[in-house]
Amino acid sequence: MTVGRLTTKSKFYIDLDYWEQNGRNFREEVYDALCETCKKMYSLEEARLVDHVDPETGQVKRMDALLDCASAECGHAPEFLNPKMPLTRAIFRAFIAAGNEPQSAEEIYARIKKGSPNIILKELLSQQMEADGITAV
Amino acid sequence: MFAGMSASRGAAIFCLKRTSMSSASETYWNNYSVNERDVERVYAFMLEKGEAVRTADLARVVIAARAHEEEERRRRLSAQAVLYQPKLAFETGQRLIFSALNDVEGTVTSIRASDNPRLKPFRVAAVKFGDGLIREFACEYDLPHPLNEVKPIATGAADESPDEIQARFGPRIERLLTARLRGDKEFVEQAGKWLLRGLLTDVNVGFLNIAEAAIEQNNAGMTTPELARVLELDTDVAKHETTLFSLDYALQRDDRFVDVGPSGQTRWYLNRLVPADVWSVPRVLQFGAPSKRSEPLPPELETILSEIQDDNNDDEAEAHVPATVNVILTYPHRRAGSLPLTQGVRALFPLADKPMLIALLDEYGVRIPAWVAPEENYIFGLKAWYDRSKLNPGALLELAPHPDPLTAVIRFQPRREGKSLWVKIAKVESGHLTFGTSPRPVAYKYDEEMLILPEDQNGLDKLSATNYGDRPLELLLADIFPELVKLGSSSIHAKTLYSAVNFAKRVGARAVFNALANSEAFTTTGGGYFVLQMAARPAQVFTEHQGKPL
Repeated sequence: MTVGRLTTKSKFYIDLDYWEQNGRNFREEVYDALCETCKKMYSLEEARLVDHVDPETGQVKRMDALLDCASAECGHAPEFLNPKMPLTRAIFRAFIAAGNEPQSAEEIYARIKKGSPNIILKELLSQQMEADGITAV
Repeated sequence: MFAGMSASRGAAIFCLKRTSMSSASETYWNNYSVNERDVERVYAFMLEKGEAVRTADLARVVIAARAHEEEERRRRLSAQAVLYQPKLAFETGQRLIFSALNDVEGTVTSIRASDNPRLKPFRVAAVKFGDGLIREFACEYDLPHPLNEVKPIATGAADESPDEIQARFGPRIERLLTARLRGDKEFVEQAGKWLLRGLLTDVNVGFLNIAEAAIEQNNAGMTTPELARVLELDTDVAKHETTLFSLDYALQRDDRFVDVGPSGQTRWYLNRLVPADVWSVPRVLQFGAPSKRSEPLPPELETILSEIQDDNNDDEAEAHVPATVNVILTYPHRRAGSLPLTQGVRALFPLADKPMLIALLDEYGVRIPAWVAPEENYIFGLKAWYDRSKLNPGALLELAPHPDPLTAVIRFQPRREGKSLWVKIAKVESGHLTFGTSPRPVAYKYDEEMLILPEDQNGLDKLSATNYGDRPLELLLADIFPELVKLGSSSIHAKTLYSAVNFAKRVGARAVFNALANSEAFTTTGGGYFVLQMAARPAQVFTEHQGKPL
């Protein structure tokens, strides 16, 4: 399905520069999503990068410790992506769960099981998601 | 980044888990194409062997070589590179293969300690890839990770044993090899075997002339070893196979000779001695259009059918044990000097896929050369014997197996001629087949219902040459039926109609019985007898046929 030039296979990510340029703190969003255990491990104020191990390739990337925690630990918890969550929220959480690795609408759908790839694509292109810094690769 | 990785290598080295037939191996052999090295290998094998070899043997050579080559390559690779697994420890300079990255290879350039308080400490290896980029990978990482579960298994061409590969992919490889070798003048092919042209024994025209004379004198098909003996070409035991191959090859390419043996058994004969009626079916032996209907027959007709050997061309090939069979002669075979190649008769001889020279031994043990025409379902060559034995349509014949598979015994049961019998006769009036009765001597046992003697052979031959018999079977039967009724009985037996309609066209008993059982024009009166419903006769029956000579 093509919407403009973008399709359900087009990849999106959260543009962290956009957050910075707009004076917003992405770490706050991630911290809010953390489970209590992870919240105890790191503080919101102390930003640090850690080695994040890719769950498929074993590749190591330097990643914000909160995002590493969110993707590797909390992202697997049932409450991280619950069915009652609004779709736009669930999509945003899906990016955090993936460590902000670029994802397509189809991949997000496979992760959140809400709506459909087409509906998710439309949401990804919505003003609300644009305001959250969601950008096509 | 991984452009330097060849697709074949990627497919051939590693996979995540092994199944009964790995997809890498399947891909390898399904995408196999013959290359120059394969041809060189085959050439070297044939040169060393020095004799004709089967295509399957050549395929085996290629499979074994390719599998060995792949195994060597894998061994070389594995000696140099290790499959990357996060749990393993590496050292600088070590080469790694990354299965999750399309089996790309890289070299460890440095190793450092990990930095993540959430995780148990591990090491991080910096790996440089072929395109110059460096990526970091976890090592000595004991935590659960899918790559830690991977078992390094070599896959590809060498996954299975050569036997397994040949069983699975042999036919495809043989087909490709055959196509490739046929286009190469270095190789000569004969009956599924190959020989290097340079190894062919010289079989010159002088040898072929002697072979021609030998076959003519023998007046029988001769095997290649028999001809080699005659030509004294079989003295060199070491080159025996090559000599036979070369002789076969030379005979095959000389129009004077023809292979008249059973399937897979070459027997050479002379083309000019093969009767024309073996190559082209005489008109009288050409089958009529099959009946459109093929419903099961009533049990009564099935019983009658089982008592006579049906002569048709749509039987499925079935394996039968050779046994004595009884055949009732019909007009087309009497006229052509042939026998129907029924299921039972077929079982008396080896399988043939082309005209095959056989012999029939008569009641005196006299050998009658005859030809099996497998496609058109007849055995040709009995005209003189029929004439000599004064046999006619309806005569009972018996064929029996013989120890020589290319020979069968044929006989009829003589009958004291005594007083002439009143028998049905077939003749032609105004371009139509008609019947009468006449006293005739009958010196053989016969089928009561099927005995019909040709009265007017010239007229019958002319009728065969017209399109009279080309009409639908139901119309032919409806045309013939009243002619038989004129002889005295309103009901006619199915076998009589089968015998009678064959004077117009060769047609099988099942087809005739089907037409009788399923046409509204005919009604059974029991015991295999039928009456013609005049009102239901097909309209066209009254239309005069064209009677044009064909």
